[in-house]
Amino acid sequence: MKTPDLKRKMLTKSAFKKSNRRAFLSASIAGIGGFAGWYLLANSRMDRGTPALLRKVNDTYASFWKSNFDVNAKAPPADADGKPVRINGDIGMLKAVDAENYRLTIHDPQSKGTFQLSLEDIRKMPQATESFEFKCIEGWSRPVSCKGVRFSDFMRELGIDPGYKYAGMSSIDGGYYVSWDLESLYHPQTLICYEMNGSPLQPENGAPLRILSSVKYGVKQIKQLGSIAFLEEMPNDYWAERGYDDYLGL
Amino acid sequence: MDSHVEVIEKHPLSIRWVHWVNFPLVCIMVWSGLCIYWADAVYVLPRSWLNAIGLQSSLGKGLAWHWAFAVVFSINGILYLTFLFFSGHWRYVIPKKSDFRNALLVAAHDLRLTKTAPLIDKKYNSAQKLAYFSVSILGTLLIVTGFAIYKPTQLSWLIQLLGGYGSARFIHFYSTVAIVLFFFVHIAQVARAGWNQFRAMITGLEKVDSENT
Repeated sequence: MKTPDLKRKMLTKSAFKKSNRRAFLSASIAGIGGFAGWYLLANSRMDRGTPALLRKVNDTYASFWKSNFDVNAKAPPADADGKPVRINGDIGMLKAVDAENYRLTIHDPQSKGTFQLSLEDIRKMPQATESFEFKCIEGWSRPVSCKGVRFSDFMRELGIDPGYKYAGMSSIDGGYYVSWDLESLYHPQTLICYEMNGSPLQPENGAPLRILSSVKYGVKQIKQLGSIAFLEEMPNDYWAERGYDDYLGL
Repeated sequence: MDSHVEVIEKHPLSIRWVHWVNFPLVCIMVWSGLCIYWADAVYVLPRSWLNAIGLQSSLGKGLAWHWAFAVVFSINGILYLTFLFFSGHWRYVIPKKSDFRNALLVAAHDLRLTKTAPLIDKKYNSAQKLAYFSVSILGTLLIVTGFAIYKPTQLSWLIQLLGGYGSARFIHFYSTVAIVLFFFVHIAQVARAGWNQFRAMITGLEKVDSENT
């Protein structure tokens, strides 16, 4: 088929001018409107370090991804590359933790209340290994293999009702804390780990226990896990309080 | 005929709208993208350059804007392709075999290496066709790789299709570099082409044989 020529027409000068004026007028209105929109958005009320409206937009996207969450979508396995674990943060972390006296505190307000688990209790739970690419919110990624208990198995072992909406997890020292939605915790690639890349977890990598997961950025994969609280309402999150998104689901 | 002007109906209203809406969207996406890139500046652009324009330590802000507007950018892009299709104007941007060679002649002319004026086929010359065609492909790549990086586990099939997370990130970054280069050439060419052509992108009408606009 032959491409048609662009249409041509004759206009009186005044009609041409009028048509141009109208187009420039709408363009100016659209331009001013767009600029005003941007200005209002950028200068709107701040909600924990981010314009409230932007946060609302991203929360809406998060609820879309949450309600369409595919628990069977797994990150492909990634073989360890032999490089040392990249250590990016030590916020809320202790220099060393005595594994003997370590206790993980669980808050289950609906039924079991508050109780504690030792490292041995966790190790006795069904063991799982997973490998995938660990993804940092900064942009880099690294293959990781981890050994521990799947969070879903952990919940089943403890008999905690999966009806909760959220979990808030804190480091032993309490200086770092993250919020998690239950759907993401039930993903098969979300584990409470005591081994990473074939060796026992080191203190700087989060020993004695840390979270590793393919469904959240590293900032959510808390190290030196000290407590887990199951909740109906979304708990505080260290980085969400500093301008970051609450969900950060992958 | 003094009181009359002959005009070409050059750009459909729908395409003019998405074109101008796209301009601030691309600015927001590139700016917020650079805020994100700063946090792990592994490609060609050094972090010091970003510091020089004040983009340091704005990862959270960058992500908030980038994610929020990615959807708007995608919708606008889909509208563009839809309008391009239904207006029939897609025919003017699909390059033919001969356009690849002719585009070089256009470039040679525009760089003042040769004097032969570029041949315009209906609406665009060969270099324009290639440029506008490629920029649509780049936009599509940016959206696809962007969503793959955004949800690499939920969309793991897409990540694997793109050769992995690192590869999707690489394509995403360098497509942006290409879009930015296009942008600068585009601005320079618009300035060269003159008022009549620029006005046509706003009003839709290009004046024929205008000595003075």
